[in-house]
Amino acid sequence: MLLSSLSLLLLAPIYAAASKASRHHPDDAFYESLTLHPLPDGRMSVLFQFETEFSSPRVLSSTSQSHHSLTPPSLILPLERNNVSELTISFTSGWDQQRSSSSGPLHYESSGGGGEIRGWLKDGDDVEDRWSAVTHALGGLFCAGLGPGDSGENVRTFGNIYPEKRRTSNTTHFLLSHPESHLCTENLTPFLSLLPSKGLSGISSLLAQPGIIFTWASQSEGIEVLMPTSSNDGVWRGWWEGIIDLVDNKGNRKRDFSIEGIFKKKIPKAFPETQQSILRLIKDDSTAITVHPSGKEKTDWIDGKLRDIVEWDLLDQDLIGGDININWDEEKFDYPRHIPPPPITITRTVIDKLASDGTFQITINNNEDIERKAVYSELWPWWVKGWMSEVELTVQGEKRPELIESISYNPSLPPKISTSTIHFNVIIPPKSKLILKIPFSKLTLRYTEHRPDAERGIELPSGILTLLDTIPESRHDPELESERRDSSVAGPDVSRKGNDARKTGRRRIYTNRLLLDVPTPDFSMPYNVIIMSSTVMAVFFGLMQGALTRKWGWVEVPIMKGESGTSSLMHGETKDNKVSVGADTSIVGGYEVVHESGEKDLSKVTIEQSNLVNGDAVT
Amino acid sequence: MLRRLRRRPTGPPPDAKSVNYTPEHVSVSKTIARRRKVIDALWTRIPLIRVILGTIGLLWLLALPYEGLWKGTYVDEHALQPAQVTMYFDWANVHKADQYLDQLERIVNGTFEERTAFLQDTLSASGLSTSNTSSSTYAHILPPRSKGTESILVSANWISRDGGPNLRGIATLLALGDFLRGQNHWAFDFILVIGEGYMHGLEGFMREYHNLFGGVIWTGLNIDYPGHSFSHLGLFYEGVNGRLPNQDIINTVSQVSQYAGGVPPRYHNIPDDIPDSASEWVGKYLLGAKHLLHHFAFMVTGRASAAHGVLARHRIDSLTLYATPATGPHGFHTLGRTLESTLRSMNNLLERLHASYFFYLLPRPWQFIPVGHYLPAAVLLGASLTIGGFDCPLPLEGLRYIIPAFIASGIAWAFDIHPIYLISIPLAVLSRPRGPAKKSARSLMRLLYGALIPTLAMVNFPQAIILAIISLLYLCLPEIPCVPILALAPGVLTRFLIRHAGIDLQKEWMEVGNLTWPGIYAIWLPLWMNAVILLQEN
Repeated sequence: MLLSSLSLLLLAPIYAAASKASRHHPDDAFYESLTLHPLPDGRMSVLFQFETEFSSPRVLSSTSQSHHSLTPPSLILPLERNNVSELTISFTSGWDQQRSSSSGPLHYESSGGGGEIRGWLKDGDDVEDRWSAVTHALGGLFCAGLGPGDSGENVRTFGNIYPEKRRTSNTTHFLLSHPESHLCTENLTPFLSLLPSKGLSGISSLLAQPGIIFTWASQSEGIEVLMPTSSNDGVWRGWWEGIIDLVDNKGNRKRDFSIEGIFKKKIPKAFPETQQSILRLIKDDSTAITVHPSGKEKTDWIDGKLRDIVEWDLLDQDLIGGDININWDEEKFDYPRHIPPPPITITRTVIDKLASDGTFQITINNNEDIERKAVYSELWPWWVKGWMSEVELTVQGEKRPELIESISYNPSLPPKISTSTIHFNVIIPPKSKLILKIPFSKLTLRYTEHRPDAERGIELPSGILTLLDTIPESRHDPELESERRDSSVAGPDVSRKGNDARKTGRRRIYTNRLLLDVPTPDFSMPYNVIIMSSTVMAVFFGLMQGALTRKWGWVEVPIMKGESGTSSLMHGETKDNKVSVGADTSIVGGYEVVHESGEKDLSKVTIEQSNLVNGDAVT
Repeated sequence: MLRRLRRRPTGPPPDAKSVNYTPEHVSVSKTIARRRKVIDALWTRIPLIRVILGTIGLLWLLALPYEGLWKGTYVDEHALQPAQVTMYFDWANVHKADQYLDQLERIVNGTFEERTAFLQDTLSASGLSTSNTSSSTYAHILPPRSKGTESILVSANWISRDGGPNLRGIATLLALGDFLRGQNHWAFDFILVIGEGYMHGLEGFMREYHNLFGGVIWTGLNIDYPGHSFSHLGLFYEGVNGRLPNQDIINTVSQVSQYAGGVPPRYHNIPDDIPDSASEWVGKYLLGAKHLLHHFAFMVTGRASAAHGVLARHRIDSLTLYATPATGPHGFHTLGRTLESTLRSMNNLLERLHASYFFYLLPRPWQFIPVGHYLPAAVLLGASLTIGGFDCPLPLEGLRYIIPAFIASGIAWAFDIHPIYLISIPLAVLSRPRGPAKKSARSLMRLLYGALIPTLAMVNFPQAIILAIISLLYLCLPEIPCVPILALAPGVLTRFLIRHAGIDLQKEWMEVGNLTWPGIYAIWLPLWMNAVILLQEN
C-alpha cells in the first residue's frame, strides 16, 4: 500500500507529462484513405494513403524542446537536425504498363524499380555530410541500405526532374537510386510504426497483415516529408500500393469482391485522432459496377481521364464493423484480348549484346493524338560509359535527330566512383513510336566491386521520362463537371470528352529496371594466378641466384660412349646443312673444333658455359 | 657422404696441365656429356615418341566408354534443389491441355496467320500478354512477385524432331501458360514461345528477343511431345556449335523427371538397357560407346540435337525434353509436373549457372565423364603432332609455301565458292617445295594444327578428335596410303553429307549460325591443300 502510493508519488510528474503530450497540438491533423482501382485485366490496384499535417515543434515553444504528437520523432528529428527541407523515399517492385492501361502505379510519387531516396537540403558547407547522415539514419529506419556506398554515387543533377513542392531558395537536390533493393516484409513493420495509428485501428489495421499484403503484385511503398517553414505547416505522407488478382484461376471467374473478402477483416473502427478516413473506388470500367452499401458518387480527373468515383466515409458509425460489397454486372469475367494502352508507354532493353558493349534501346510510344514535350533521363553507375556521339533517334524507322532539342550529359570520371547522368529534351510526335538508341561500353569493375552473387549481373536504375506539358488535375472544375453532365445526357461522347492525356498529376513515367551482365572473373582464378606467379618467381629467383653466385670457366667435355652412333644419326638429320660430324669429334668447350675433313662443326661451335660446382677451385 | 656416393670415381683424373685441372671440372664435364647424351637419345627417337603418344591417345579415346573413367552425376549448384517442391499441376490442368489439343488438331494445317491468331486468343484468354514475330507466337507471364529483370524461356515448336507435328508439346505449353499465371511463388518472368517449323521460328524469336524484352534469360526448356503417350523422357542437350548447357540443367531435369514426374530419363532417346554380352562390363562398354557415338555425331558437325540448340548461342542453358512416343503410361500429367518442378528449381537461382560444369561427356544416365578424364586423349594426339614439328630448319621459307593455301581458302570464302571447286588448286601448283623448305613447311603445319587441337578440345572435344586424326593422317602418312585419304577432299565429303545424310552445313550456317561451315574454310581446306602440296615422297 505504502509502496504503491510511493510509486504514484514518484511517477506523478511523468503521468502529468504523458497526459499533456497526448493532447496533440491543435494544428496537427491526420487523414487516411484507401483507394481501390479495378484494372482492365481482372486485377485491382489497392492504395493506402496516410497524411499528417504538423507544425514546427520549435516555433511555438519558448524553450528548445520537441513535441511530437502525431509525427514520429525517429523520422522527423533526423530531418530537422540535418536541415532537410523536403524528402521522398520510395520502394517499388515494378509495374506492367501493358496490362494495367496506366503508365505507372496509382500513386504518382512512386519511383521506378527498386529503392530511391531523394530530397532537398538547405545549403551549407556540410551539405554532403548532412545528406549522408540523413540517408544512413533513414536506411536504418527502413531496414534497407539507403546511404551511398561512395559519396560519388550521390546525384545532384535531377533537381529539375523532381522540383521542390514548396519553392524555397538556397537548397540543393540529392538523389540516390538503389535498383537492387527489394520491397519485402522488413519494410512493412517500420512503415506501420511511423503511422500514428500504428496499424492498430483505422485503415492502417487493414494494412498490418503481411500474410495478405505480400501476396500482392507490383508493390510500391513510400514516404514524403515536407518540413514546416515559417509560413507553412509540415506534411508527411506515406503510401502503400499493391495489385491483387480479383479473378480466381480455378473455378470462380467473377471479379466481385468485398472488403472482408480481400482483407479478412470487417471495416475497422476508426483511429480516434483521424480527421478523415475515406474508402474510394475508381470506376472506369465499361461494365457497370454496383456497390452495397452505396457511397457518395462523384467524378474527378485522375491520370488523364475523368473518372467516376464512389466514396465512403469510414468514420461513419454505421459502416464500422460492417462490410462493403462491389459487384460487376456480368456473368463471368473473360480476360480481354486487347487492353487499351496508357497514353504513353516506355520500355528499355539492351540490344547488340556483347560481353563488353551493348546499346540501350528506349522505345517511347505516344498513343495519343497530341505532340508531347518531355525530358528523358538516365543515370548510370561509373562503369557504364555511353557513346554520346552515336546516339540515334528514330521514328518509324526514320532518323529524326531534330526531335532531340538538347542533351545534358554529366559523365562520370573513372577511376573516381561517380554516377553519369544524362537528360535528353525530346519532342514526341503524336501517334508515334520513338526509338532512342544509346551505345555503351562496360568498363571493368574492380575486384572488390563485384557483388557476392557476381554472376548475377548488376541492376541499372529505371530511366525516367518527365513530361513537361502536364496540366494539374483540378479536383473540382465546375466547368468540366457541367460539361460532363451535359455530355452524359448526350450519351456516347462521354469517353471522348473525359480524356485528356495531359491532365494528370503523373509527370514522370519510369522504364523497367535492367539487369546488366558484367564481365566477371572466375573468382577461383586469383588463387591459381597467385600459385602460378609464385612458382614462376621462385624458379626465376633460383636461376638468377645460381647465375650470380657461380663462377664461370672452361671445361673439356669427353667423348661419351655411344656418341658416334648418335652423331651418325645427327648426320642423317642434318645432311641438308652440309655439315659433317666426324666419328672422333672431341668437343671442347670454348674451342672451335676442326675435324679431319676440315669443315667446321657449325652446330657445336658454341661456348659451353658450364658452371663449376665449387667455384673456389678455379682461381 | 652423399656427395661421395653421387660422384662415382670414373673417367680421367684431373690433370694440372689440361683444361680440366680440378675434380670439379671433371664432374661438370661428365654432367654435360650425360645431359647431351639424354637429349640426343630423345631427339633420335622422336618418331617413336610420336607413335607412342598417338597410340596412348587413341587407346585413351577407346577407353572412354569404360566405366572406370566415369563418375556419378551430382547437382553442383545448391540453390537448384531438384524435385524438392510440392507440385500443383493437376488433372484440371491436364483437362485444359486436352481441350487445347482438340483445338490444335483442327488448325494444324492452317496458315501461320490462322495458327498465331488461335494461339494468341488462347493465351490472352488465360490472362497473358501475347504477340507474334514473323515466325513465332510468344506470351509473357509476369508473376506477382517477379521483378521482371530475369526470365525463363519455355518453348514448343510446331514440328517435332521426328518431323511430325508437335501438337501435344504446344498443348502442354498452353496449359502451362494458363497454370503459371497468378501464382505468387515465382521470382522470374516466363517467356512462352511457339515457333514455326522445327527450329527457325525459335531462332527468329531469339534474334528479336532483345528488341521486345528487357529481362535476361538464364535458363530455358523446349518441349517435344509428338506421340500419343510416352514411356521415357529423352534429354537432348547438344546446342549449336557443340555448346553444351551447364550439366546442372541436365542433372536437375533427370532428377526431377525420375523422382517428381516418375518417368525415367534417357539421353538422346537411347534405351538405357545393358545389351546381353559375354560379361557385364562389355555390355556397359557397348552401351557407353553407343551414347558417346550419338553425342559425337552431333558435335562433330556442330549441329544442335533438338530445337533448344538455337538458345545455346544466346548464352541460355537449355535442353529439349523429348517425350518418347509409346503406348503409355505417361502423358500431360507427368510432363506438366516435371516441367513445373524443373521450373521451380530454375526459379531458385540467384545468379547464372557458372561453376565449371560445362565440360563433360555423358555415357549413360546418372553417369558422366569429367573433363580431366577425357581431355588427355585430345592433348596426347595434339602433342604427337606438335612434336613432329620441332625440326624446322627454314621457318620463313616454309611459311612462304603454306600461306597461299590459306589465302586461296579465304578468297573462296569471300566469293562463296564451294570447296569442291578448290580441288584442282593444289594440283595446279607448280612450284612445290623441296628439301628443307618442304620439311619446314610440313613442320609449321604440324606446329599450327598441334596447337589448335588441344585448344579446340576444350570447346568441342569430338571436333578436336576428328581434326587430330585428319591432321595426323594428312601430315604424317607417306604418299601411298595418303593419296586415297586425300582423295576424300572436304568438298567431296560435304557434298556427300548433303546427298546422303541430309546435312546441309552451309544452310545451317546461314540459318542458325553453325560455325562448322566457316571452320571448313578456315581450318580443313587449307590443311587439305597443304597436305596435297606437301605430299611425302617415299
